[in-house]
Amino acid sequence: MTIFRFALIRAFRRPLNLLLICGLPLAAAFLPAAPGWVVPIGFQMYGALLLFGAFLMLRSVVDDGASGLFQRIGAAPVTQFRYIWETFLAYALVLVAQNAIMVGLGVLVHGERLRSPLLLFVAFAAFSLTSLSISLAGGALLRNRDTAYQALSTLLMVMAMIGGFFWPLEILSPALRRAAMATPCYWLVHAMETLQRGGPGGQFVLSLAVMLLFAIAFLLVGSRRRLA
Amino acid sequence: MVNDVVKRYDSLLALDHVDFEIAQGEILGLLGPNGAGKTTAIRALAGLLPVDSGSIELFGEAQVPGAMGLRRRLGLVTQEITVFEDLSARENLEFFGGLYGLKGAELRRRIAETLDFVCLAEHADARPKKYSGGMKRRLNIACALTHRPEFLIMDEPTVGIDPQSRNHILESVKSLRDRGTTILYTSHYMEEVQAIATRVVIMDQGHAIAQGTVDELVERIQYEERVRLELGSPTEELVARIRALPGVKQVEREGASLTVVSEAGSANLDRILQAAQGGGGVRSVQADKPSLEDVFLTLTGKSLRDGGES
Repeated sequence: MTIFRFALIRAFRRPLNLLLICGLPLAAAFLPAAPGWVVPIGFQMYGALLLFGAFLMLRSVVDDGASGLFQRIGAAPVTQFRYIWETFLAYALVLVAQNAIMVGLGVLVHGERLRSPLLLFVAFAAFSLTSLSISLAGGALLRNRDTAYQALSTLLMVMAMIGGFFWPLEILSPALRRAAMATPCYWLVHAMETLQRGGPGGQFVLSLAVMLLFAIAFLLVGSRRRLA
Repeated sequence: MVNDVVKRYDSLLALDHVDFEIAQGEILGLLGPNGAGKTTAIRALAGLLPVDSGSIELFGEAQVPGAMGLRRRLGLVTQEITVFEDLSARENLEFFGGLYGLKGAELRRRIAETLDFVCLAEHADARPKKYSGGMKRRLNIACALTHRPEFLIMDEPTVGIDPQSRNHILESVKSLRDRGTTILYTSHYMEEVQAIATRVVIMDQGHAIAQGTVDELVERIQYEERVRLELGSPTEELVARIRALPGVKQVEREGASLTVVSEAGSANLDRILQAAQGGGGVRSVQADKPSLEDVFLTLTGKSLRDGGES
């Protein structure tokens, strides 16, 4: 549990992490519902904050690799699988706790306008895993730290934009909407809209399944990183 | 024991049939210019790298990547400072001690001992970003000591620090050896290796080109002995008398000082001093002996500190 415990400690040591984990998401819960938006704006944007919060936390793994720490950890009696999984689980715990607080605040602020909060929490939890696995895979594929940061932050921003975190999916053209379906962001928004509209449960389950498939695929790529 | 080890990176032969042994409880100095294969050898010894052929055996077990039992008995001090900047010194030791399975009171005791050992106990709760270069280097070493390794690999542990911190680290290394730790020590500072190593292995272009004690290595390249004398009033007659001594190859006079070059092993210092008595008295004597630096230069044709051709 050493790796898990210290990953948790380190997650809260960086001021930027604190802002993205504790500050902005909780502030987003207070953003009002707006005309044209199916889901309260703050909840839709919360998806982007999850995406970037996961990226910021997993940045420490890329930094550790660049600083040579993996060489020292690689010489210790731990497998790289254990190192990556304990780190991943620690960060997942942070995001899931954040999801619970966010949904709890949402219920307080928006009351009954926020439908099916429990299922909303499940959707956020699934997307949290997907967000972490995307950053893990990015860090594994791009070994140069600066390249990894630039490429990942650009990719995440594009995904957040076409996935519908910053505007309602309805305003996207049919072609863009089809492209958006290739991002996990679209499926979180789809899940939230399905819940908010009281849509069929099958659509919600489909969204969850797609997000988890994305998570598994990226995790398989991310866990192949060599420690040293 | 490193046994006929070969390691290639594509077309580059990083280790070319390398053999050397490390006796339990000794400090083995590993020297070589940049690109000699030291880092590859260290990574293979630490189990971070598979070798293409040959074998590495530590404590009677084959060292291969993933050999967890051996990893518990090893410590690695990396050349770069590889500590967590966002954790305090104590937390860093707790993390690395935890990786080696230490916990609870035993872990706390080992952390306190290690912090004392590297003189960081007073700064244990500060983060490394507030440390001086020397303190960071000491923490870098401490992270490899908490689990009390039987075999410690130290890759350039004193790079870029002040002489006081360097001396402290060298004393600590000797103290670890006295406790029975076997140490593999690489450094660009030849005088460090000369001061602490029991034996030395010199590597160049993937080969272990020479190994032995410092004295043995010096003997290998010592073709002549050089004595410098400062005399009261040397005369030409005195110079001729010294030149006639057995084994003397050359005598140079410059003012009141004489430089006498003799064949290696001629052991004629006494005779030279006796002869020099007639030169108005001997004011000073200096007998030059080749250093490890000279050995390195002779064997590799390179200067170690800049890694370039000499």
